[in-house]
Amino acid sequence: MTKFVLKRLAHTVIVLLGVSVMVFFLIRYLPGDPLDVLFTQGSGDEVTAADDLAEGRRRFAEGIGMVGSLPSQYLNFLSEIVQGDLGTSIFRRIPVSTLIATTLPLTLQLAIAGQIVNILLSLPLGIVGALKQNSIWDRGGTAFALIGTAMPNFWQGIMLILIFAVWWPILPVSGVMDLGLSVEHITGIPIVDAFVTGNWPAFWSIIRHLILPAITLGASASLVRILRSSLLEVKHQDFMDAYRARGLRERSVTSHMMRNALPTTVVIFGIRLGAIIGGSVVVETVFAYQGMGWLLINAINQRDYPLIQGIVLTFTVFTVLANLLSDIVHGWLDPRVKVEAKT
Amino acid sequence: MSENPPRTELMGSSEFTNHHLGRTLEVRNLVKSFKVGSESFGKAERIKAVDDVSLFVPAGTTMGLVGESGSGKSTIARLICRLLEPDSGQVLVDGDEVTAGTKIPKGYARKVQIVFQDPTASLNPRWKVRRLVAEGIRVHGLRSRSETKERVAELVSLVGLPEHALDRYPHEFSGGQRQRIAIARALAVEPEVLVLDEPVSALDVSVQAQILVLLQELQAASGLTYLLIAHDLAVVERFCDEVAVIESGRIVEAGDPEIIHSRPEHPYTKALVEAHPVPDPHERTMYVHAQDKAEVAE
Amino acid sequence: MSDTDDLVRIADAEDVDVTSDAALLGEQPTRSWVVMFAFAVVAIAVFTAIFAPALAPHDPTAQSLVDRLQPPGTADHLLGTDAIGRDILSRIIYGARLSLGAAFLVATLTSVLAVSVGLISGYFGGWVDTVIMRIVDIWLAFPGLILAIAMVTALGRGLDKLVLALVLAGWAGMARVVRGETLQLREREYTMSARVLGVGKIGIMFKHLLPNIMPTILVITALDIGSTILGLASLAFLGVGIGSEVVTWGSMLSEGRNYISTAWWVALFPGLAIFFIVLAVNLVGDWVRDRYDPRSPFRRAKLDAATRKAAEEQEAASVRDAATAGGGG
Ligand SMILES: Nc1ncnc2c1ncn2[C@@H]1O[C@H](COP(=O)(O)OP(=O)(O)OP(=O)(O)O)[C@@H](O)[C@H]1O
Ligand SMILES: [Mg+2]
Repeated sequence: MTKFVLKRLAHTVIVLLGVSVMVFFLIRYLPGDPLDVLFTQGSGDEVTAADDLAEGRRRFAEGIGMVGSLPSQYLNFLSEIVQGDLGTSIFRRIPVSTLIATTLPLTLQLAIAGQIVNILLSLPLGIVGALKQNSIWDRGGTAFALIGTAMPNFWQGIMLILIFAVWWPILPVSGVMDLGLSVEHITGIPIVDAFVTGNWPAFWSIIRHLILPAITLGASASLVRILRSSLLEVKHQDFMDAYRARGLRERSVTSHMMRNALPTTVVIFGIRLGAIIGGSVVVETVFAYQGMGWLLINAINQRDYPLIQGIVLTFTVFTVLANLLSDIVHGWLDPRVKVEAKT
Repeated sequence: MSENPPRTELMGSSEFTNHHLGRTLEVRNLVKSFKVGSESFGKAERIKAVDDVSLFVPAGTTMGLVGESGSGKSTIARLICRLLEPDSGQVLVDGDEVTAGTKIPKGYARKVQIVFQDPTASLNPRWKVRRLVAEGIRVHGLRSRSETKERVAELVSLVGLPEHALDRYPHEFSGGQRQRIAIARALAVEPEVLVLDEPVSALDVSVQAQILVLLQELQAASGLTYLLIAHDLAVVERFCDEVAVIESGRIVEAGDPEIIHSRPEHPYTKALVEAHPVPDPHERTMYVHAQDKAEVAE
Repeated sequence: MSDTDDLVRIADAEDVDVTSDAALLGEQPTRSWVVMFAFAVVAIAVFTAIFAPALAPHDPTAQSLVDRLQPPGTADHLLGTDAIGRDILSRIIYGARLSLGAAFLVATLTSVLAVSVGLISGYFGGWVDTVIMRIVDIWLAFPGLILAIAMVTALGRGLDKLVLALVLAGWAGMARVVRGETLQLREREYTMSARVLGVGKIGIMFKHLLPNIMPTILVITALDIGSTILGLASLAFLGVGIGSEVVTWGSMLSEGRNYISTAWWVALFPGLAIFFIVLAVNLVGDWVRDRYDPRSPFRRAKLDAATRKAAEEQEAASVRDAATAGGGG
């Protein structure tokens, strides 16, 4: 197991290095020179006078670390991101890391809420589907997942707004909490901070603001099919028949089934996390939820390259770490994986 | 190379008599090892699948190579056909080295061909027989378009398949028929040496004899040199001029099949013989002459 | 294959492997009337896209401030008009062109790129394979939508660049699958037999391996088109890479969002269009998989004994893949 974890860790480090190289080049190989794009179109408020242009350019180039040879630029870039320095936002003039530190907790809060909705929907549908295979419940669950998969979640979000905020106005449609409320900063995750400090008005407001985005993010019940099929796979394995033959009650057969289907589900869950994070970009935009995804779209509209770079990197590092974690948990739950890793 | 024995002209085809002068196959001190186990922390173990093997197969004869599963027979076959690079040692056909280095002149590719154990896996399922058999001819540009067509038809009938077989896919044939297609495919480039890697062990017993008879006829007609791999000493004995017994990558005993069978010296060979009880000599003859081509009829 | 992700190729290698193998267990083929419905929707959409100019009642870009925000059913505007008086039905009809055309283009180009890379990696093996597979790992580390957004940002705005960005963001998953298949087929006897016959590497890759990998490629492509359509719509909705200068369902939705409290139809109809086309395309994709994926049990039942054996070998191998999924091979 230790060997498996070490190997997986080493692999993760390589992947993360690769990711950093790619992000580095993506920003540097913008069409033409990003500096030209920025400084000839005059989209920045600081570049109004012609003589300011050269100075602005230089300052900007320095700001995003675009001076010196490519390898040295990269090494600088790498050593800075390792220290948590992601540069400074061009338009906000705030360190990118600060911006991420304030928006990431919101995105996490939303992603977890979305995943809770997903699990609440998927678990019963998947289990019933597998136990009562081909029953009306099973078919219903499959159809639900099929529909959820095809539904663009930005549209789903807009329709939820239409229903619960326009036609039947019971829920807020934008932001993290009501204006005028605030929570003390402890963990950075508003809902936790509100809870810990006993700030109930803020706590409820945060929950009310989370409901629609979380449903939008999680209601596709993407886990139904996977859960159902991994349960079915176990259900049809020989040892399950052996249990039945030995006279185990159906209830405990079922619990054996669940335990054996768990590893696969965990892996898929990990892989899905990347998808959830991607989805949060769209959902945050729909609900003006000021998380990292919302910030990314803003940064793109403002051509704030250091910020784009920082957010893309953070999103990806998170996904990679989530995958690593789910792999390790999977390896721990399913002994076969360790054997595979050895060969 | 003029010491080759004169060849009977059963085939009547001039190509066969002129170009198919079956030549010698020689293997010298062949060594091949494989990495096994995890490579993650640097030290991979290696096993010697072929360990200093030397063989000499005179022109137009058949050498049997027998050993149990995993003894390295297929590895030798692959080394001879350049599907694997040897760690050291040489393979010589007709005195010309065919395994040296990485770049082999195209012409040499024609000298050695192989027939695999599983005829289903050895034919591309998406190609029709015509194209399968013609592939070698095309690759080497041996004939014009129309000649190729003729030649393919000739080869197909040579291996005992009806002409309408040409426009069918491999899955439409039985195992024995597929093996015939594989043989026709190998013969298309007019090789001198044919490596037969357990060519009948995937087939029904009744069909095995037919394929062996076909191979014998082809050899008699064109003087091909065979290396016949088997794990069953009995198959080899009635078909080969000489037999080599291989254990864990090493040749432990070689010589006349009858003698090896009746008086095995090496304990491993003894075990092999005991594993396959001696068939009745009379029955054995009948087996070889059973030219039942019922399956070919369609 | 996509849900919240919305984007392309989240259906990456692992997904395809894990779900298509396991998910099929005990699943029944989609009912035939559902498949018929799906094909009908796709056919109608393709027809609409091709004959958009003849079918659309209005010019999709013609503005008319007098007719702004007309509700559906108004004379002359079946689905109503948007904030600057453009006919929504006509815009949806024209939007089909982009949705389907671009998605088809992305899917095709992605397959071509993925297959070339996967074949080369699998067939040449050695350090070439190692390098390519590391790159694939890196690619797959990015959340799909984020990578697409990053690519679009790097390439700049415009439809052509958007297509290119989606291709560059999405090739890796399929390349990994193709490489896996190639590795298996490379050791098949028919490949070795061709090598012994003197067939060159290119010949083996394109004449022997490619035709035998084709069913898998077809299945993955079919399963991916739905998420490609969603991905395009997402980017258009976000205004990344492409804005309202091109008529797309995604940008219509984005505009419609601003009028949601007064004119629900502006956002409803383009969303319905996306939903139905993606649903139909996904169903067709499932159908293709059931029919052509050698690993599918529905197909397996029909296979002859010989092919069955091969399919089982593949199954065993992909179960192994699945067990190490994300373990980085
Ligand atoms: N590509 C390879 N990588 C690692 N080990 C290999 C490889 N090919 C063969 N081996 C090993 O080399 C040994 C000899 O294998 P080989 O296939 O030559 O045996 P064989 O005599 O043909 O057996 P069989 O009768 O089962 O066909 C075996 O231990 C096998 O595991
Ligand atoms: Mg063998």
